[in-house]
Amino acid sequence: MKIEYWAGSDMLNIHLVERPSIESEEVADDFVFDYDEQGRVVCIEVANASERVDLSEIKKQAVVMQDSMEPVEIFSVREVADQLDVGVRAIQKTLKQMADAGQAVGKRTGQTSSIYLWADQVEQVKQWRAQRRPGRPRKEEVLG
Amino acid sequence: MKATEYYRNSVLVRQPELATKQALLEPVEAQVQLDGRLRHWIYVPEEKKYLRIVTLADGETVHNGMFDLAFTRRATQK
Repeated sequence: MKIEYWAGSDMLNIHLVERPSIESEEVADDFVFDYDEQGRVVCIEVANASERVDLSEIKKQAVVMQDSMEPVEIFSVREVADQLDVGVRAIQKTLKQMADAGQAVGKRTGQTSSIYLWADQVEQVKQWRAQRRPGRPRKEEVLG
Repeated sequence: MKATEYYRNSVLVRQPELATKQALLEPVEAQVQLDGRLRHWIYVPEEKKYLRIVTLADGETVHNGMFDLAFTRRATQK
């Protein structure tokens, strides 16, 4: 069992087992149970935790995360493709090459939905592509 | 899209299959929480479930998300 308290967002997570959940249920205001595929509770999430529970004892056993509430940017594959002025398939191909090379980036958000990348991962994709330009060398590269 | 560190490092780790963006663009229902944050629900056909996305009060910074069992039950009983 692992207990995490996210101080910035005041969220308490009690991980009963380390397994992804497939659905969740708000059993009371601010108390959410996460369930696995067999319908077993894998995590209890408490929002507004400092108001809902006595954290003084829990904090002694919890990993306290000092998270920021400052928004971070997340980019879809299409947005990355637009930034680099290439097609979506080119970025998907790059992501696969990076994954095959053990440098996987991006978070898939569903079987048919897109992959999200953080700003630092977008930079990794740009660097990877810059180092491995596909196709024939460009004229200016040949001429030096 | 903007997200909080909690969403990035906790929610997506526990529940990686969240199609967040559509929920903000075309929610079937939206609601303001007591703490001022916003709930948005969308139906995800490939999962046959309703997804709940919670944003900060700005309505665009994603903070939490889950496949909402109770909402799915209510919607399918209607």
